[in-house]
Parts: sequence; structure tokens; C-alpha cells
Amino acid sequence: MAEELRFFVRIGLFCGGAAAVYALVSHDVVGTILLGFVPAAIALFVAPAARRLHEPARRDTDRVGAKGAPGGFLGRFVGFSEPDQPATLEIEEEPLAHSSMWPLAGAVAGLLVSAGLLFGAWFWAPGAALGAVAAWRWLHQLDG
Amino acid sequence: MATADTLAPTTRRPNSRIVEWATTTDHKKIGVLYLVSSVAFFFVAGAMALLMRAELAVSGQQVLDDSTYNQLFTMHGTVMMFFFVVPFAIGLANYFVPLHIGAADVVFPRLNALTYWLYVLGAATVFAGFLTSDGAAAFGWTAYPPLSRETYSPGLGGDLWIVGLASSGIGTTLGAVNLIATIFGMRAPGMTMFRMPIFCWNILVTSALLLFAFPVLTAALAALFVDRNFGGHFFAPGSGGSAILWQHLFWFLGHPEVYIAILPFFGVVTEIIPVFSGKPLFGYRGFVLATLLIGSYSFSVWAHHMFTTGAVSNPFFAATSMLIAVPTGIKFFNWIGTMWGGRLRFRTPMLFCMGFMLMFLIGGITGIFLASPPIDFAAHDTYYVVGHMHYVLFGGSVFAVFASIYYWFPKLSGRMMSEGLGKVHFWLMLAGMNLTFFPMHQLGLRGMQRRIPDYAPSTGFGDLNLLSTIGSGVLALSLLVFAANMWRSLRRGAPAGDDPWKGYTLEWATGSPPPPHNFHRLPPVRSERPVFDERVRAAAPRESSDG
Repeated sequence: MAEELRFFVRIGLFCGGAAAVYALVSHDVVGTILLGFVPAAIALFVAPAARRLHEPARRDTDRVGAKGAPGGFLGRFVGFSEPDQPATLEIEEEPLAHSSMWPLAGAVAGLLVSAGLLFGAWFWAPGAALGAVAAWRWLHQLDG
Repeated sequence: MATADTLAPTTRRPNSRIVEWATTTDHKKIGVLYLVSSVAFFFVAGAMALLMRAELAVSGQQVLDDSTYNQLFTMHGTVMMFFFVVPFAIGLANYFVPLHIGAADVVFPRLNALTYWLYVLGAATVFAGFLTSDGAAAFGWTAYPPLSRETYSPGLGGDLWIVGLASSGIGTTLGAVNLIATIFGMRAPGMTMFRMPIFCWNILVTSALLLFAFPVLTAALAALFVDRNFGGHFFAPGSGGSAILWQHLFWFLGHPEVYIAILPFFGVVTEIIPVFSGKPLFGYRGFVLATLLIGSYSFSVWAHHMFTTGAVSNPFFAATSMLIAVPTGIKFFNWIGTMWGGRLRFRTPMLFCMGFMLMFLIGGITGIFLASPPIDFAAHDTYYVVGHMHYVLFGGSVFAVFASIYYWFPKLSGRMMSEGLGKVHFWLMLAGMNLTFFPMHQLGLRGMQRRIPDYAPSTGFGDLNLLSTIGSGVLALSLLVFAANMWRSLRRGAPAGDDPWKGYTLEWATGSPPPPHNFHRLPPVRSERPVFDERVRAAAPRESSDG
């Protein structure tokens, strides 16, 4: 099992055990449910993450790891360092993300919609419209 | 997802500076935005504290009326917990996690920008309560029903508090997802999990806590909003609801929140101490294990805030609350082991780390007392708890905040901060902090309740309150010295160079400030201190030829 998964499994096992002990000693429903929430949430995370870790990109990184030590599973860098070769890793500069106004617009939209719950349609209607535009433009930027 | 999000060309139109910062997706700029915003909120919340201390200096009400006092302690707690300490840690994580793991950016740069804007607009929403006719929220940062229900806290201030906090909380949760994905997915070749800097491990555990704890609070806030505005009865005992349910839900976030507020700073201190001790960290794996244990335990201690309700199993939560001292003790052991026999350099960042250790130790020990239900019954809701909490969060987190600023300012700005002013700042803050918060323990043991704007002269609380207020003035003076140091250093600080401290981790292998892609080259990563390794390797041939 990858260390990334073990990290969550350890926390989940601890909280699951704590939930079981707490249920036995207290019979308190609310506390038991809250303690059980953490392992349940982790189980929901770990299952898809385990699948993700076995996708081709990860397997490629593992192959690199057969010679050197593996890094993250996205494999964003070209080249790698061999443990017995002191050469530094030359970075091929990756393109960075565009600057974008849509995260700010999305946050403003969220604020307007939530304020609309207090102040009515004068807030949530423009907020919803701005949110839709921001989401659309954001997705469009990802394609570009 | 990530790759599509980041593969667009880098060409940027010449924007104005404001537009450039408002639309940035660069993790370093977003990190700086977080850091600057959170420090600004710290100064605002500090000013609120000064007003409260001025009111409490002597018996009788001189400065604030009851309502304003209630608003101020509510907003002080809210701002310090949700808009200063945690966002400052997120700012550090934004800036330094990609640098530490050898990445060019975070996995989701635009999501990163969204989380910042949700945070800052959420904070603005909470502050907007001051502009309403009834004022800001005034039910304490814990917002216990029935006090926080519409019957006892009518007005928009409470609703804006809920909406703003939920917005900020959603942003924080998304930010946690981004940081976890970045740490798991973007580590440079050679950077295995057990070669990551301890700071990254602490951010990883903190992000996991955020991921699992914040949604619970968000759900509780939604329920409270429904209770207040749409006739809900979630927390109305008379209609089948439960006020205790809120306490469960709030503290299920609220206690991990304390560890969310301290774990990143354990990481900061653990990065700084080895560098200024001239030694590798003592017990790396033990440190990681202790961090994991603290993270796990933090989910099983929340109800020690509820001992007096009689609705939880006190022995269970007393045991878990005391046990959490064990992994924390491991960390202290490791820090001391790292310094032991080292070549210590008492520069300003190291001084703040030493202050952190001493102050947090006092906060931790008083916390062990409070984990005992009989003592908690006596000290509950008294100033003893306020003193304990401030030793943990001010003596702990805030000292480490300043350690991180003095340590990483050269990397962010390319300039050094003044050592002289830094040391004045440290000693004033250490004295001010102890003068302000130590008397609170004694006040609490004498029975002074927290969240009261006044006390009778016959109580005998006057002298210690005056001492505490004088201490808060010293603290304020120390912050003025810091502000002057920052102002001076940004304009006339000495050039820092790439690695002014002879650091260990990858951020010291690149420029100050780092280039847009962070690195032009990376040293091979074969331990958790690759820059140290490279320095040793570079020195080895010279030493052998000298010999």
C-alpha cells in the first residue's frame, strides 16, 4: 500500500477504534457517530484514491522508482536523480496557469448568493448569474 | 484536472498591479496575500483585545458598554481563530509547500485563488456586522444556542457571522484538498513521503484535520442559520431539538481547530531549530509518528469542553485529552535532542522558537490540569481557561508566526530583517505576553468569570487585571517594533542572498524571491535535508584536498 494511503488508513483505524471504545463505555449516540464519521469519510476517500494511484501515470513513476526514489504520482518533472549519481535535476520549465479573474468572480458570486438568503433576490439573482458566468468561463479557460 | 489547469501558456498581459494581484494564480503571490491579510486581521483583533483590556483595567465601566464588549470578545475570538492563525498557516503552506517538495506550483492554481477570495470575502462579511444597526455578532466565538438563536441574538450581525464563517470554511476545506493533492501528487523525483520536510508533514496532517472537521462546522452553521431564519428547531430543546448537539458539532471542529492552529507551527519550529543548531533533526520518523498521533487524537478529545454538561463520557475524554500530551512530549524531546550538543546560533528566528517552546509548555501543562474533570468543573468558564488558551495559541502559535516571518522574510523579499529590532521585539513580546496572560490563571482560580465587562471592587480582581492590562500595552509596543522593523527592512534591508541561514530544505536552493517556476535546477533529494547534503558534498572534496 502506498504511503499516501497508509497515512489516511492509520488515522481512520485510530478513530474507528476510538469510536468502538467510546460506544461501549458511554452509549452516547452523537459522540459515537461523530467519531465514526472520520473513518467513514476516510473509507470514501481511500477507495477512489487507491484506484487513482494505480493509473498509468503512477505506474510510470513507480518504474522510475525502481532506479531512483519515486516522487509524487503526477510525474510532473522530466528526468530524475539516481541515488548513485550526484548530478542535479535540470528543470524543463513547465507552463504555469494563466492569471484569471474567475476565481475572484466566483467568490463574489458565492458571497452574493449567501447574502441573498438574508436580503432577497436583489442579491442572490445577480450572484447566481455571476456564478454561472464565472463557472462557464473558468471551464473555458481550462480548455484553452 | 491538474494538468489541464496548469498547461496554458505563461504569457501574461501587462495588467496594473492591483489587477495582477487580484487575478493571480501563482502560489507564491496567493501565499503572500494570505500572509498579509491574516497579519492585518491579527492587528485588528489585537486592537479589540486592547480595548477589552482597557475596560478591565480597573473596576467600573469606563471605555465600553456591555453590548460593545460582547461584540468585541466575540469578534476577537472569531478573527484570531478563523481569520488569523489558520489562514496564516495556509499562507505559509501555499508559499512553501511547493518549494519544499520541489514543485512549480500547487495542483489546482485557480482553486487556490478561489480559496483565498472565499476566505477574505467571508471575513469581510463577518466584519460587516459592525455596520448593522444591532452591531456585530455578540454570542461568543463558540455561538452556543440558545444564546445564538434569534430569540436572544436578533439582528443581522449573527446571520452575517454565520454566512461569513461558512464561506470562509468552504474555502478552507477546498484549500485543504489542494494542499493534500499537491503533497501527494507533485513531489519531485526522490522526494519520498519520508524525505519530506517536517513542515510538509505537519501541513499534510493539518489539511486532513481541516478536510474532516470543517464540513461538520459548515453543516452546523447551516442548521443554525435555518433555526434563526426559517423557523428550524435543530438546537431548540423545547421543540425536539438539542442545544447540546451544537456543542458536539462545534467542538468536533473546535478542538481539532486548536491543533489545526498549532500543528503547522510545530512544523515551522522543527524547520528552524535544526538550522540554528547546526545539526540534523533528531528523530525524524518519531516526529512524523507524533504528528500523526496528535492528528488522530485531536478527533477524540472534543468533549473535554463539555465535561460540565453531563452529556458525555468524562473518563473517556479525560483519558484521551491526557494521552495527547504523550506525542506532544515526543516533539519536545526531539527539539531538545536536536539542540543538544549543537552549535546554537541565537538569531531572532531561533529566539522566537525558544519562546515558543517555553510558552507552549506552560499552556500544555495547564491543559493537562483542565483535562481532569474535577479541576475543569472548578475552572470552567473562568479566566484560568482564557490564560491557558492564550499560552497555547499566543505563546505557541503567535511566537511561531513571528519565528516564521523572521526566518522566511529573506526568501520572500530578498532582504534581511534587522536583528537588533527583532531581538527588541522578541524580549518585549515575551515580557508582555507573560504579564498579560499569567495573571489570568490566578484570576480564574479566584473565580473571575470570562466574558464579563466589569467586576466589583470587593472581588479583589483589580490588581491582577491592571497588571494584565499593562502587559497588553507592552505587547502592543512589541508589535509596533515589529511593524517598524518590517517597514524598514522592506525599504532598506540588507540583501539576503539565496541562503542566508545555511538552510536545509529546497527553498534555499533557489533565488530570493524564487523565480516564477520556483527552480531552475534541483539538487538530488536523498534525505529530508537535500540542501544540507549538497553543501556537505560540495565541501567534501575541498576538505580532503586540504587534508
